Parts: sequence; structure tokens; C-alpha cells
Amino acid sequence: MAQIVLDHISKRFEIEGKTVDALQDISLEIDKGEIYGIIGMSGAGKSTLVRCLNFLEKPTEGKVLIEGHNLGTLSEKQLREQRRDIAMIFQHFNLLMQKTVLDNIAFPLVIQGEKKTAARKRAKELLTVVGLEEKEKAYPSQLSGGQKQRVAIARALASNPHILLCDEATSALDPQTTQSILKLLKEINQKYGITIVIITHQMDVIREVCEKVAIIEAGHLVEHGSVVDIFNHPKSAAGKKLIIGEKASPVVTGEKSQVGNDVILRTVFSENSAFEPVIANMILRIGEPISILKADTMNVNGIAKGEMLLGIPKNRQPEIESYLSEKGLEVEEVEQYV
Amino acid sequence: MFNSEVTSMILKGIGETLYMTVFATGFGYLLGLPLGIILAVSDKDGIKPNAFLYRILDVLSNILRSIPFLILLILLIPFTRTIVGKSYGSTATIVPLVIAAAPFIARMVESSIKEVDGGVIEAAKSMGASTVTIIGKVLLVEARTSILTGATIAIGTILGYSAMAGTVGGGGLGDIAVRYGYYRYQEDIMIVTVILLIVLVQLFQLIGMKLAARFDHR
Repeated sequence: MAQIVLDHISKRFEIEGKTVDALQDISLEIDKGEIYGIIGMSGAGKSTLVRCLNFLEKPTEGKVLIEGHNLGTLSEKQLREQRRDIAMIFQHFNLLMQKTVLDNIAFPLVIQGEKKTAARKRAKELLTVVGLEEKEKAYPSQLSGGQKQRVAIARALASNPHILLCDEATSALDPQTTQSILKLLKEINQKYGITIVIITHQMDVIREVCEKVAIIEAGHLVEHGSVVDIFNHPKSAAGKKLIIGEKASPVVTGEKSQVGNDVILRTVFSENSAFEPVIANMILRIGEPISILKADTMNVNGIAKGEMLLGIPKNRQPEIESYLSEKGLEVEEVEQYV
Repeated sequence: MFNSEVTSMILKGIGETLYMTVFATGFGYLLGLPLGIILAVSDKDGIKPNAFLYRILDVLSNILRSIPFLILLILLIPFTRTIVGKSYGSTATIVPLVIAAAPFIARMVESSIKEVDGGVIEAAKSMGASTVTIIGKVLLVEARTSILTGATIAIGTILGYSAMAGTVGGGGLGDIAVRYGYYRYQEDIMIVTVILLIVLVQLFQLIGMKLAARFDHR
């Protein structure tokens, strides 16, 4: 059985007499050692979903199984003990402002009743893991955002958890710091085999570190699977918006009709197809001008991927599509790409 | 007019005022701190909501706070007599001071605790902390500075109340100010006691703020 099983989870909130369905009938399985991304626009319900994994939010319907334990059947005390295996980090770090970095990291152990000296010893080891040895006596207010998140990660690791939940953990950080935090998470995943669940609204984050992804929209799970598959062929509208809509603002919509491009194709290729000038050869073959509306290369879970949006004449579409597929490129017509 | 007799009387007054203030604040916190914690925790956004408990404590503290101190002082005379054995003098004044200060302190503690960032509480919950652990190791630690600032305000208010008790023979500087300044028209003595009260409040304020700043790492 998978390490984390969500079985037909629904969550309703009563807010000022009105019923809000935050999550509706979500089923997911996450295996041990995976880095699993959950992505959605803000308000999609992904933060509620991640809180169902440690029962900070109790689902209205459905079951949550962590390593075979049904969280809904546990007593308060058993639930508290179970939570020690499920660490969590947050967008705003949530460190104790009145405690030093070292005591923040030692905190989960102190809660569990460990002696302060032993807890501090473990905290010092963890400071090394996150690369902040020299900051042990500092207070959180003296740290940068990235450093605070590193402290939060060290704190999360203190109780040797099996699962690490990350709730928008990089959303308050700049791109460079985001990269370094993601790198750290990946290291932790590999070094300790901790399953990591990443909640985010940033496709970059998913592409960078996740093997699998679930897309949440308006409380529904609309799509899930391997990141590479979904990146190549997003099926749901939300998936297309998140993947294709990303960074598409400089597209020149106004000039579309002038060059006579009726259809826009999105094509995705891996590094092996980069040796052959596919687009150039295709233009030579069909003898029609093609406009490149967008071209980009990016890292998808460790694999270099190229992505292009091509404006093509509609009457040559079948020919072009089959040519590109023949060359091993993923092709798909897109309607809206802004 | 400032002969040794008056001077020693004023010194005794300062001593009594400090005695009343310090003990009333101490006992006030003994009652008010747990009360404030329960208020903050049992409120609907608290970590252990309990509408019934909150409502009772809420109403009780509001009733006590709405009774003017002078009236409370008189209302409590039988109660004070059973506890202390007499109804006048500085020790007797501590009883109504505590009763008046406790709900006021509870309200301040409550609001200090409610200032604690909800995210930190959530983090503690996610680590498996119990309600008692969250109160002791998160709420009181994170609200420490704010509670200290509140205590500074409480001391100033209690000192003012203690002076008010002077009208019914409560002892301390207020008593001197009322007896000499008001009944005997010796304004100079009254002015001196008032200045001393001001100095005392300033002193407490200064110490309290210094302490609060020293313990604040935000």
C-alpha cells in the first residue's frame, strides 16, 4: 500500500451560515520516497488538502491513511504521536520569534519530552545539514527569508519524520533562494528517503523537483500523474493554463492574422531531438512560413525540455502535426495561450 | 511644616503604597494570568474553543470591571474583614485591589495571547504539541513581551487605585493626600504626595519597558 492514501476526501466549511466546499471527492496515493507536487491557483483548496494529511483539518468525508493508519480513527493522543512522523514547513516559516535558532530546531524534541541538552545536541547536527552552523545563537528576526526556511526545515527534520509537507514553502522567497531551498529539499529526500509533498502555485517548483504532480482546481482533483507526462500533454483546462499559460504574456496576438497563422501548436521536445534542425527541415518540406511565437528550454524533473509555440496555416495542420510526431516531438493544438 | 514627623509619615506612606501595589499586582496576576489564558484559549478562535466557559468568564470579568473601584471597595468590606480581620489599613486594601485588578489583568493577558501569530500555533500543532504544551511553550513564550508591557500598565493602574483607597483609610500616599490635603487644607503635603505618586508611576513604567525590551527578540 502507498505510504499516503487519500480515499474520497471532501471538506466543507461553514462560513457565516454559508457552506463552502473546499475539497470534493479527492483520491490520491503517494508512495514512500516520492517528491509529490500538488499545484493549483490560490483558493483551489490545496492548502486545505495538505492539512488533511496531518489532520490539522479533519475531512468532512473520506479517509486519510498514513502508513496504514486511518487518522480518523486515532485518539487525540495517538494523533499527536502520528504527527511526529509528519513534519511540515510553511510559507511564512512560523518560527518562534522569541527563541534562538538552536532552540527553534530543538523545539519539536522538547515537546516530545526530550532533555534540553540532548535536544540541543541534535539541533546542532541539523544546523550543519542546512548549512547554518554559525547562526545557532541568532534569533529568527536576524535571518533572511531563505535562512528562516532553512531553520524551519532543520526543525522539521528534528523528530526524524517519514513525511515532510511543504505548504507554499518557497512562495515568499526570491527565485534564487527558491532554487537553493528546492535543492536542499531534494538532498533531504535522497539522503533520508523522506517522502516530500509540495504544495505550490508555481509550475517552476513542480518542474524542478517533483516526480509526480496532482492538479487541483476549485476543490477537485482534475489531473494527476508523472510530471513529465503532464508537462508534455496537459489534459485538463487547469493543467493547460498552469503549464502553457505560464510566462506566455509576450505573445504577439495582434499580428497573428497578418501572417495568416490560423492555428497555434505547442510542441515539446527532449534533448535528443535537439541535434536535428526539425523546424527548419519542416519549413523546407512544406514550403510555408511558420512563426515561432514562443520558444524556451527548461528543466523538468532533471530532464532538459524544449517548448515551442508555433503559428501555422490551418490547411497544413495535419501534415505538420504528423511530421513533428514522426520526429518524436509532442504536438498539441492550443487555443488560448495568453 | 516638613518636620521629621511629616517626613517619616511620608516615607511610611511610600512604603505602604509600594507594599500595596506590589502585593496587589502579584496576587492580581496569580488570578488574572490563568483567567486570561482560559479566556484566550476558550474563545471561538482559540486553540480549545469552549463557548460556555468563555461566556461565563467574559460576563464575570465585565461585571467586575464595570463597578467603580470606590464602590467595590465599600461593597467588599465584609469580605475583606473575613480575610484580613479588619477593613482599613494597607493590608486590607490589597483585597479589593486584587479583586478589581484581576479581571483587568485577565483582559490584558487575553489580548496579549491573542496577538501570538496563528502560524506558530499551527506549526506547534503539526509537531504534535498538546494544548497544555502550546500554552506553556508557545503562547506564554511568544506573548512574553506583550504580557510584560501589560504588567507595566497594570502596576500603574493598581498604584492609582491604591491611592483612591486613601479616602476610606486605606493607608499609603493616597491616604496622606486625602487626610492632609483635602480635610486639613495642607496643600503643600498634598502636592508632595502627588509628585511622589507621579515619580513612582514613572519609575515602574521605565523599569517595565526596559525589561520588556530586553526580553524581546522580534
